[in-house]
Amino acid sequence: MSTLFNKTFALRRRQKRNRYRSGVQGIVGLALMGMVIIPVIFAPLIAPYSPTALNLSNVLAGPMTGGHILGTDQLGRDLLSRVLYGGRVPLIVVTAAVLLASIVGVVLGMTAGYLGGWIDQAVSRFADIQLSIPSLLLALVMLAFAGSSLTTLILVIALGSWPAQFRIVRAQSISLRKMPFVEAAVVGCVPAHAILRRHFLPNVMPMVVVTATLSLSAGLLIVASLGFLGLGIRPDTPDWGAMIAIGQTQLGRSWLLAVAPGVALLLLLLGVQLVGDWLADRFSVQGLLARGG
Amino acid sequence: MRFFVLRLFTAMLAVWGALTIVFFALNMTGSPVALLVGDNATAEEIARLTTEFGYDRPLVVRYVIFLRDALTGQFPESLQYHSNSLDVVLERIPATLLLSGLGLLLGVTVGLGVGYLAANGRWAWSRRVPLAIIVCAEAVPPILLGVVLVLIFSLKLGWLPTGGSGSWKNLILPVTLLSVYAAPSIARVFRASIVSNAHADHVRTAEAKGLSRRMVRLRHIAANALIPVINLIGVHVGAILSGAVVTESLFSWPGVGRLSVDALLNRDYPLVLASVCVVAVGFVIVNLFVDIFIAVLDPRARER
Amino acid sequence: MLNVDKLSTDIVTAAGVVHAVDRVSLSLERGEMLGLVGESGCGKTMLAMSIAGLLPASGSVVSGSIVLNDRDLTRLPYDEAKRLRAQNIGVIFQNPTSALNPRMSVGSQIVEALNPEDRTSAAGADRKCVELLGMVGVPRPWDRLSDYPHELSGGLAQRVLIAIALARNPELLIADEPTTALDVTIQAQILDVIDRLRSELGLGVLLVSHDMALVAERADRVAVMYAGRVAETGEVGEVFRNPLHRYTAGLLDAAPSVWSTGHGRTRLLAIDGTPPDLSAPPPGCRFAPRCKFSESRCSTEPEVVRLDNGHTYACWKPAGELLEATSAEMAPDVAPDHGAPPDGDRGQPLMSLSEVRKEFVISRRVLGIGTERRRQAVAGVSLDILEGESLGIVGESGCGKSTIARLLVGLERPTGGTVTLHGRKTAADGRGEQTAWRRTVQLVFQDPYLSLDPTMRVRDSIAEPLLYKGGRKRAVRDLVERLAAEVGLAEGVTRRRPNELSGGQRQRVGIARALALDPQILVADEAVSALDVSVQAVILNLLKDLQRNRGLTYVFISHDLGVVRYVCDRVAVMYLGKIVETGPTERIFSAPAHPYTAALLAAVPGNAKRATLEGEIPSAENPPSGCRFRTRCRLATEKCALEEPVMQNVEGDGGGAVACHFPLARTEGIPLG
Repeated sequence: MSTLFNKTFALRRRQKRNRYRSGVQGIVGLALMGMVIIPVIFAPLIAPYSPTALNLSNVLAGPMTGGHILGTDQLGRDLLSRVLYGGRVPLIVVTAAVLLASIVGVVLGMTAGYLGGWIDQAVSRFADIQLSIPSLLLALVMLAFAGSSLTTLILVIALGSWPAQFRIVRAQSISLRKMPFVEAAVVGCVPAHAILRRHFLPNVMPMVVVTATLSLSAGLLIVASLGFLGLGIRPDTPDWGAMIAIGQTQLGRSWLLAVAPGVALLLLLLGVQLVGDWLADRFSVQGLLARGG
Repeated sequence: MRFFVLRLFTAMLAVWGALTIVFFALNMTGSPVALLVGDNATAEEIARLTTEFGYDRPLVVRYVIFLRDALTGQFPESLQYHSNSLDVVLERIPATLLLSGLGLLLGVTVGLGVGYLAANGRWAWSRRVPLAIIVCAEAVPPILLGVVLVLIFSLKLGWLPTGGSGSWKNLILPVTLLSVYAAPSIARVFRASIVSNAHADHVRTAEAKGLSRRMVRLRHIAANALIPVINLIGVHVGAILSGAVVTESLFSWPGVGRLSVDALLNRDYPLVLASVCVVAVGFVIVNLFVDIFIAVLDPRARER
Repeated sequence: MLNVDKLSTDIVTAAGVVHAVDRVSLSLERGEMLGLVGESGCGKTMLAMSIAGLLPASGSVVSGSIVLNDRDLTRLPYDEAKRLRAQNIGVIFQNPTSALNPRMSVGSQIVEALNPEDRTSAAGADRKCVELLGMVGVPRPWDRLSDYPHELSGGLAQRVLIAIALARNPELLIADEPTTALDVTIQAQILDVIDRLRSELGLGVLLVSHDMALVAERADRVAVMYAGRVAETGEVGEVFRNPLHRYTAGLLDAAPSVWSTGHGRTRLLAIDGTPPDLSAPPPGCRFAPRCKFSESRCSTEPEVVRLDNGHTYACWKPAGELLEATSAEMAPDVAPDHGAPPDGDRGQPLMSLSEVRKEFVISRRVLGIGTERRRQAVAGVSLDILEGESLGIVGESGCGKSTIARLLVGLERPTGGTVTLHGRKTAADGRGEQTAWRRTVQLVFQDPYLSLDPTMRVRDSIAEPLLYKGGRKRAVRDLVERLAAEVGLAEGVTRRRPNELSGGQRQRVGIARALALDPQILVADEAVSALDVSVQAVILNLLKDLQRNRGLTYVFISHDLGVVRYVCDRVAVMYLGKIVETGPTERIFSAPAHPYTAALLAAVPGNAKRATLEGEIPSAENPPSGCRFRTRCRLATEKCALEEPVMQNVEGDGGGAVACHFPLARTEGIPLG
C-alpha cells in the first residue's frame, strides 16, 4: 500500500510543478520585455545625457567614470543614453509593422480561406513568390532605392511578415470552414460577414497573437541587421544595429560599445520569445477546438 | 511524374514572380538614374543616362526587356566592375555556397542533435537544459554573437582571424555564426515534432511489437518527426541566405552577400539587380530540391 | 492463462489523479473470448492497456497483479516483463489506419514484429509476412507488402494489424474496440477472422467494446465495467439474459435493437446523468447516483456476490427476478406513444429529390497533365420525403448518405437533377427565397464536440440564427430559454461554454439551435452515433417527443440499423450513390427484397442467421457497370453486369420499391448463409 501512496504522491507533485513553471515563464518574459521597453519609451525622462551631445575631450571613457554609467563612445557621447534612445526606432518600426502585417494577414487569410477559388489561389501564389526572396534581401533592395525613413522601414518590415500571418490564418480558416459549427451557421442562414466575424475571428485570434510574437522577433532582427549594414535611418539617430556596427570598429578599445546595445536587444528578444512560448502553451492547452468535459 | 512536373512549373512561376517583384521594387521606388549619378549631376547627364539605360521608355516595355534579358543572362554592365554584372555575381557564388553550405550543415547537425536531446533526455534536467539553450540561442541577435565571437577568439585569444578568406581558419567564425541562423529553430521544431509524434497511435503499435525503446524512438518517432523539419528547411535556407549578407559583411568574406551590400552602398544598380535575382533563383531551386526530397521521404506527399 | 487480480491503475491529468482502474479482477483461458463492455470513460481501455503494458507515460499500475502463465508481470523486472509481453500478447487498436506508421511500408512493419529466427533472411521474412497476411485473409498478400498505410482501407489496415499482432504466435490477443471505426459488414469480416484464429490457434481474446450486441454474439464470457470497477461478470448468455447489476440492466434497456419488433411503441429506458469523475469517485456503489433503484445502503460499497454458475455481480438491489416488477414500476415513465399516425395523414411529399446527382472533382488536369478524377457521391437519386414521417437512410460509409443530407439542407448543390420543396425548385431560387427554404430544413450534426463554437456561450449559439432572421434581442432571449427548456437543458446551462458541457448536453444544444428557426424538416446526420448508449437513448427519446409535439418530419441518416428501426417509419437503403431499396421499416427489416439489404442485416451482431458479406464497397470513382452491387452479390448473373436494374414495386407487406433483377421473395431470406 505504501508504494501506491508514494507513486500517487510523486505524480501529484510533478503535475503541480509543471503548472507553476509555465506560469512563471510568462511572467519572466513580461518582466524582461518591460525591463527594456519601459526605459526605452521614457528615454527622454530617464536618460542622463542627450544621445547626440558630443564631447570630444572625453571619448571612449570607461564605465562608471565621470557620471557616465556605461562610459562614452568614440565621439564622447553617453553610451547609456544612446542605448536607451537607440531602442526607439526599432520598437516603433516593428510594432507598427507587425500590427499592419497582422491586419493584412488576417483579412486576406480569412477571405482566402473562406472563399477559396481563384482569389485564394492568387493571394497564396503571391505570398509564396514573395517568400521566395529572402526577407533581408527584399528589404535591402527596397530601402536602397526608396531611402530609409520611418515609413519605408515600417512598410518593408510589414511586407516581410504578412505572408506568415496570411498562411496561418488561411490554413485555419480552411479547416474552420469545414467545422460543423460553421456549417450550422450556414444552414441557419447567418450571412458570410457575420460568420467571419463571429466564428472565424475569435477562433484564429490565439494563433494570430502567437504568430505576431514570432514576427516581432524576426522584425527586430531585420531592423538591427539593416542598421548594422548601414541602411537604417539617418546615421545621427541612434539605433541599436548601427551602434553595434560602429562598436565593431572600436572592439579593440572598448568592447562595451557594441555589446551594450546588443544585450539590450537580446533581453528584449528573450522576453518576446518567452511570452510567445507561454501564449502558445496556454492556447494549445485550452485547445483551439479542444474537446473537454 | 505528375508531381514532379507540377512542382517544376510552380518553381518556374516563383522565379518569374521573384524577378517581377525585384523589378517593380526597384522601379516603383523612384528613378534609379537619379540615385546612380549622385547629387551633383547636371541635368544633361541625367538625361543622357536616362536614354542610355532606356528609362524614358514606358514601364511595361522596360519590364518585358528586363525579363528577356534576365532569361538570356544579359544584365547591364556593372558600374563598379565594368563588366557583365551577372558574371561578377556568378564569380562570387562559390564563396557564398561554401559558407552557406557549411553553415547549413552545421546548423542542421547541431539543431537536430540538441532537439533530440531536449525531447529524449533521460532525466528532467537533461531535457530542460537543452531546451533552455534552444530558447536562449533563438533570442541571441546574430550580429551581437558575431561581434562577441570576434572579440573573444580574434582579439582576446588571438586564435582566429577577424575576417578575410584563404585559410580554413577564416571559415570557422563565419560558419559558426551562420549556423545560428538555422540551428535553434530546427532544434525547436524537431523537439516539438518528436514530442507530438510520441503520442501517435502507430507508436503504440510499435511498442506492442516489443521493439526496444531505442528502436521505437529512432525508427517510429524521430524518423517520422523529421518530415516537418525538412518541410521547413526551405525557410532555414532563406534565413541562412539573409544571414550570409550580414555575416559576409561582418567578416569581409568575398561572397554575393557582401557584394550586394557594397553595390547598394555604391549605388551600382545593375549589380544589385543581378545579385538579388541570382539569390532568388538559387533559393527557388533549393526549395524545389527540398520538395522532391520530402516526396522521397514521405509516401503521402507524393500523392498531392 | 491470464489472471488479473485486484489491479489498480492511476492516470495523472491536469485535473488530478484519475483512478482509471480500481481493484479489478478477471481471468481468461486459451481459446476463450472475454468481452469487456461499458461506456466510454469507464476504464476498460486502461485495463486492457495495463495488461498489454502500453499505458501512457502519465499512467501506471499502482497495485494488484497480472499473472500470465504463472508469472506476475507487475513484479518482473521491466525488460523481462516486456519480453514476456512481446512473446505472448498481441494487441490491435481502434483506428487501424492511424495505428500503422505512415512512413513505412506494410511489409517492413510486419517484419519488425517477427521473431529474430524468422528474420534471418530477407526472403524468408517476406515469406513469413505473406503467410501471416494470408492467414488474416488479405487478398493478394505479395502485392500488399510494398503498399503504404494510406493506400489501405480501414478493413485491410485492421487485418494488417492483426497480422502484426500474430507475428510471434502469441497466446493472448487484446482487441481494443477493433471494429468501432469500421462499417458493419467489415466489422463482421474482421470478427470472423478473429473467431477463426481463436479456434485454429487456441488464442485467448480480450475484446474491449462498447457494443453489447457484438459482445453478446461473439464472446464466451463478459465483464461489465463501470467507473473503473467490474460491475458484473459471467457467461455471456447468462449475463445478458438475466442481468443482475442495475447498470448492466440499464445498458441493455437503453440500446435499441435491430431484432426487437417494438418499433414505435416503447420508449427507450435511458440512464440519466454521466459516469462519475474518477479522480474523486462517489463512495459506495459508484452507479448509485444514476441508479433509479438506489437506496441508503447503496452509499456503502456493495459486496461481490458469486452465484454457482460463475455469474458475479456487485449490487445491493440486483435486477434478476425483480425485472418484471421493475417494468411495472417504471410504467409511469413510459410515455404512451401514439404510434405511427394513420396513413391518411401522409402522402404529401414535402421535399423531393429527382434524379439528383452530386459529383466531386478529386483532381483536375493541370496544364494538360494527369487525368481529371471525379467521384460520384450521389448518382441519380429520386426520393420523396413525406410530411410527418421519419425517413431513415442507411448504407455503408461512402454510399453517399451524408451527401444526401448536405444536399437537403443546401450545404451542397446538386450537379444534376432537382431538389424541390413544396413543389418548388430550390437550387434555381434567388438569394432571398433561398434563405426562406433553407430555414425550413435544418440539420443536426454528428459530432457534439465540433458542432458548437468553443468561443461562444451556448445561448449565443442557439440565438445566432434568430438574430439574423431579424429577431429582437429581448424576444430572442426569451425564445432561447424556451427552446433550451424544450430540449431538456437545465437552467443556467445556456450561460456556459461548450467545453463545460457533457456530450449529451451539447447534442441537446445542437438540437435547440436547429429548432430555433422552427423548421418543418429536421435532417439528423448520424446524430447519435458519437454518443454512449445511455446518452443515445436520452437523445432518441427527446427526438421522438419533439416530433410528436411539433409535428416535425425527420430524415434520419445512420449506419446503426437498430437506431433506424427504433426511430423511422420508412427506410431507404443506399449503395454506392444509388438507392437500392425503399419501404416501410417493418417490411425492410423482416423481409428485405434487395440482396444488399439482406446482407447488411445479416452482418448486424445478434442475427440468428449470421452471414458475412465478402469484399468492400468499390470506389465511387469507377463504379461497376449495371447493378453496382453485383461485384459482391452471390446472385449476380451476366444480366446484372449489362443492365442497370430499375426501381420496381415490392408486392405486399406495405410495399416499397427495390432496384434488383432478382429480388428476394419473402421466403428466401438471406442468400448468403
